[in-house]
Amino acid sequence: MAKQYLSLLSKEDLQKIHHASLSILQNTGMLIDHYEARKMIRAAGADVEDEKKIVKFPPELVEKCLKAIPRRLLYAGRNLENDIILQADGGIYARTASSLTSYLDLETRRYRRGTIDDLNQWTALADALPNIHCCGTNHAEDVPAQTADIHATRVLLSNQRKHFFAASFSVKNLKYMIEMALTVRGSKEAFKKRPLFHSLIGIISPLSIPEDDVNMLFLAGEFGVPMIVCSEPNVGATGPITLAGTIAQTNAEFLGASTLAQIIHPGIGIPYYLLPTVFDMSTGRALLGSPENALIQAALCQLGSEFYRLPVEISALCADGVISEQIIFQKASATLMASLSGANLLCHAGTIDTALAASPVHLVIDDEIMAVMHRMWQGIEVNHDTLGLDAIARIGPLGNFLTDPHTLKYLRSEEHFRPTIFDRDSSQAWYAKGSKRLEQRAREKALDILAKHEVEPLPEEVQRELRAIVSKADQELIK
Amino acid sequence: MPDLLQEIAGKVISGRADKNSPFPSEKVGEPGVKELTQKAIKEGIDLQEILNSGLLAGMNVVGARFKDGELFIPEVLVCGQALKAGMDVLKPIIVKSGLEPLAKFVIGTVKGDLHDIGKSLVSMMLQGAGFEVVDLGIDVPKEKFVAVVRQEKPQVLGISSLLTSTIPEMRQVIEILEEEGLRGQVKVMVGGAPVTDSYAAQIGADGYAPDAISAVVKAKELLSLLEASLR
Repeated sequence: MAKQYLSLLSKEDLQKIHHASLSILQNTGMLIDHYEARKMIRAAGADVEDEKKIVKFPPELVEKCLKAIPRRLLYAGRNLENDIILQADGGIYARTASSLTSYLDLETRRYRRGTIDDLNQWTALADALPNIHCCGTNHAEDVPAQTADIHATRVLLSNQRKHFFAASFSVKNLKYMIEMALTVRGSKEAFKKRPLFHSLIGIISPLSIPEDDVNMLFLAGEFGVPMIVCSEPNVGATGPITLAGTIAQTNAEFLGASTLAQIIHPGIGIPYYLLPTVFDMSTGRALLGSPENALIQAALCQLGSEFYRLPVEISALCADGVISEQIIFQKASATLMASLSGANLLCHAGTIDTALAASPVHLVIDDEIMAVMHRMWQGIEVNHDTLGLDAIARIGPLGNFLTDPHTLKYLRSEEHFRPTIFDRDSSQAWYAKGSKRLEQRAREKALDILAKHEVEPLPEEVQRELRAIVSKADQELIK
Repeated sequence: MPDLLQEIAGKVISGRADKNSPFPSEKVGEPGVKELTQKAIKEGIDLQEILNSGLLAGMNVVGARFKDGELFIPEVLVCGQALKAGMDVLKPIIVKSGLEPLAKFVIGTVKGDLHDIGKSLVSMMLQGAGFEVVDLGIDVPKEKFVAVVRQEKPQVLGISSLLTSTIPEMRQVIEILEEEGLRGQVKVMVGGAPVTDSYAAQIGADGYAPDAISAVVKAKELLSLLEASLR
């Protein structure tokens, strides 16, 4: 069943963008700062200029490698019930943001640098929220900066049960992160079958892949760690100022990086994930919540899902600034467009301030937004039973449906969304209950979850081993 | 003020570097800042006058219009390029005549970080504001920062980092400057998306700016502090 509802672009537009990206890769090429990788791409048929580190990709090679990307991607949780499967038309899920450096304190409401305690709180909340399916590692200030990614990975492995995204600082750090995940899974084979986390290949836009990111790709593929391609061109600064131009470039960066990935590790899991930002011409800030962001994201979702038939991830749960009303509007409008355009995983739940800060209050609000999105995405089921003809015949003119079997059958089904923090009271009832605004309701829900929710701890010896790996990393990586 | 200086200022404001500039398109072929600055020198107008009442006067208007939201960053950068075209003509003569050199700003992105755009933007804006900028590029080892500070003797050093993993490098640059006894002679500014005011203070930087425009304001502020301290 085709589930995409919104076609921002025509079939012809999708073709044009694909061909533009192929032409960028063939004529301009990409800078790949990795000798070994260039050797492998040359052997696969690409045109390589080693002095300039430039790789020019023939379209046939790109299209061949595109076919090799798995169309179904398993993001495994600690247990089977936390697994999610990403594939075109396969449902919508959400993950929290990652690498956020600041935290909006749940109790004092102060904006400050994040700590390991915050990450513990954040992950417990993400573990409990039903519409958040995947978590991300945030930056903690109170552990050594060189190994903060490894410290965060330990928290994600121990304190929550969902699949997670871990951005690593370097291939050296990624090694320890994989070692920890293998410890939790028990063996390399078990991890390969059910990868607990995925990581990223960073692109420096325009069109450049750093050496260390290629090293990460080599390592990740060996252990079956899925990789997202972090192509983040800045519309107007590190990408063309026109939306179509940046879409063509970012898509070329994805195709180039995924071609490289399929040559190094055929069959490595790579979702269609891209994160263009919009350069604010008045301040130079990279925006994530503008209408242009939402348009680009919807177009990319359609391209990834309808045209390439790949699992699609997009950071539509992003917003600029710290004003709640604005944040909620930006997130909801972009997420609705993306959800109806083929997105499978909506990324950056809980983030505010242009993906610089984590806000537990907004994580709770985003969970509710995702529940609404899920309902919207499900659409309207039309069949004999849902048309309710039998019920209508039973009730006839002037009756009501309240106690009819048809009503009772669907009463608790997914036919109707029920809010947990969005308010549906009359004004009178709202005032009588203390006139609480949305943020306050979300804060209370977060505190309530944190007071009650418990995550089953990992076995004692596994926890000990994880701590030992972190200490080893601290000793070996901190100079 | 001679009309010629006003004309130079006007060309800076309209972003015409020289007669070949493609911008604004209807003026292609008309002289730009470069030709008019050459003309002013030939006419014997005081060099400091050309600089202050011509080039920088024009750029001040650009700065003010930008602040009011009238101009966008690319337009300011084009004006900055026009200013630089005049500076390139003027500078060798100013240096030869022994006039005060302009303030020097050394800038770079720390080792391990390959992000360029934010730093380059600051660099371009500073040039546009009349600073002499030495841009060390990206992935700059701390030793290099220190060696260049020693050699170039800049008034201000700007260190940039975007990644949470490379931020500690900024602190280390400052520490080495301290160890090498160079810290007193240079003001240090830091920047990059995850950097905040309090973080800058924490690692011993003199200043922080959240964007390229405020970086120029901050740099000027530090410059006057430095001058005051050296007086």
